[in-house]
Amino acid sequence: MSLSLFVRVVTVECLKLKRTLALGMVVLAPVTVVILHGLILYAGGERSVRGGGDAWSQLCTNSVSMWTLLMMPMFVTLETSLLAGLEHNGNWKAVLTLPAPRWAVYIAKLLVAVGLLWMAHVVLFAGTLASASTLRLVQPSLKLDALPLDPLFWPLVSISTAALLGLAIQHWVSIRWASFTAAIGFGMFAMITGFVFANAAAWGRLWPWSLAIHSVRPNTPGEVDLVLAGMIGAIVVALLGSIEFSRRDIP
Amino acid sequence: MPGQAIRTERLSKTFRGKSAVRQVSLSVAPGSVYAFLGPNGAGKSTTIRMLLGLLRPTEGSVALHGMDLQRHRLQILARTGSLIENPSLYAHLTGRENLEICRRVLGAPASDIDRALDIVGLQNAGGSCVKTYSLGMKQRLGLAQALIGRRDLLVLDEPTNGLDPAGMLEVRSLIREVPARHGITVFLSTHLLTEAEQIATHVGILSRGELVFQGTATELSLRRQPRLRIRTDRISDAGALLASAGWPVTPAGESILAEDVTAAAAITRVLVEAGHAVHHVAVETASFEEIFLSMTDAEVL
Repeated sequence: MSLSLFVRVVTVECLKLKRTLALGMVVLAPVTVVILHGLILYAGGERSVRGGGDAWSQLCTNSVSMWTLLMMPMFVTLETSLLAGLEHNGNWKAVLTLPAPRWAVYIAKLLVAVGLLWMAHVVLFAGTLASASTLRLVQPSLKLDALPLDPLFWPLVSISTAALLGLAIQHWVSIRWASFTAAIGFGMFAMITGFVFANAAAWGRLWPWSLAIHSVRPNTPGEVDLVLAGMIGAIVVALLGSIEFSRRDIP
Repeated sequence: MPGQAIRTERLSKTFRGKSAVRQVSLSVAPGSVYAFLGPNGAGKSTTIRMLLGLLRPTEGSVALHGMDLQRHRLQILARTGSLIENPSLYAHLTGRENLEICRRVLGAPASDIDRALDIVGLQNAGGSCVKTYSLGMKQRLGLAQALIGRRDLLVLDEPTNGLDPAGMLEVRSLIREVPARHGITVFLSTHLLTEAEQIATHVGILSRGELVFQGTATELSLRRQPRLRIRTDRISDAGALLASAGWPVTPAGESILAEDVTAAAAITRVLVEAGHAVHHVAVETASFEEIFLSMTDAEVL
């Protein structure tokens, strides 16, 4: 298969997003987190700053933590389920009778899901900056004068990569079972276990849905690099998923 | 027959030990409209899914355009348009955007979209979202999808399913026109005999997973042998009398059927001379439905 065909398959998957909730969620989900933490800081940040706290670090840490622990797992579950749901409505038979390898369709959909997650992270990044800039104007006592990008940028880069393993697993589940409820149920299970294992320092670090939150914490020398683990794990799951998808009967 | 549009050899499919298709060897000539007939549950859809690589055969092989499906799947699918039961469409996209999906994967020129919309008569509806389409329009758009690119073969599974009579006529007329105007072979599955009669040049009949007839529509018509239906006041005596006179008959309810239709006058005379009250003598031709029923053991169509 040529690269040009693969690119065409990816663009087709992008075209299918037009006028969908999946595309709207890219803005809605991170903006919800941004607005929520902006309001929290607006209402109670002054007290924290008076106690010696740094409002910008607080905004970055809280936004990234809430996104990583709560919103992102729900976002990934919803996006992968919506993407797969476009085809579960009887469309697989048409998609898979077009002259493109099945693995290309599977990987293209996965890439689109990854793209949506990364776009959401860009929105979260830009939204947090915009929120801080607005707070600087309306609440000068928060002392949001300097907004260094590092406390926001690098955690988002780590999360963007470490979250890929959970996303690849959720993508396979959403494609494998036609039931939207099954995919959402699995996603909820993943979110809750990820939440529970967020504070399990030992083996909980390697739980696919806890990788992201652990990846933004300082790494002890000798421990597995969670960003790398997330990326390699995602590649392995994607390969296995595409092989399984290629062999499956489409009734 | 390497030049056949479709050729299967001993194609079989078993689901969890239950046989759905058994030893089906299809042969579809290029340029033909092949009606794949069978009652509901006969295995037509399973066979079609195997032809398109959606299901893997338990046994046997599939070749389309003279190429083995397993080895040349992508080349085959590039030349094969399909519409399986209800059209697969994205309701939130416009008709044109739905066609664009096929066009991009096929690498076909942009003009193909207008051409396909034109063929199915949806030029003016291409910009509307598919969720606003009627069932007939969706079916026509499904056909348009199958016509994007350079297709030599259309595989259509029950393309008139769920359509009202006007929609059925529209779709049938489209299917009839396609081979003549565009030189495309059509393989069409249906459980509607009238549909097959109206548009097919060739017929295959599937019953309980087995191919029980394959040939031209004319060959199938030849099975519609005329016969003589006779009704008298004493039907069993009449049957015995005619048999002894050299005309074998078969009982058919309140009537008897004689095969020699040229002997209508002679049979009537013999019966009258023997004192029978002859109520009815008529030449009948077996209907397409009767042939189908006799081949498929189907009870209801």
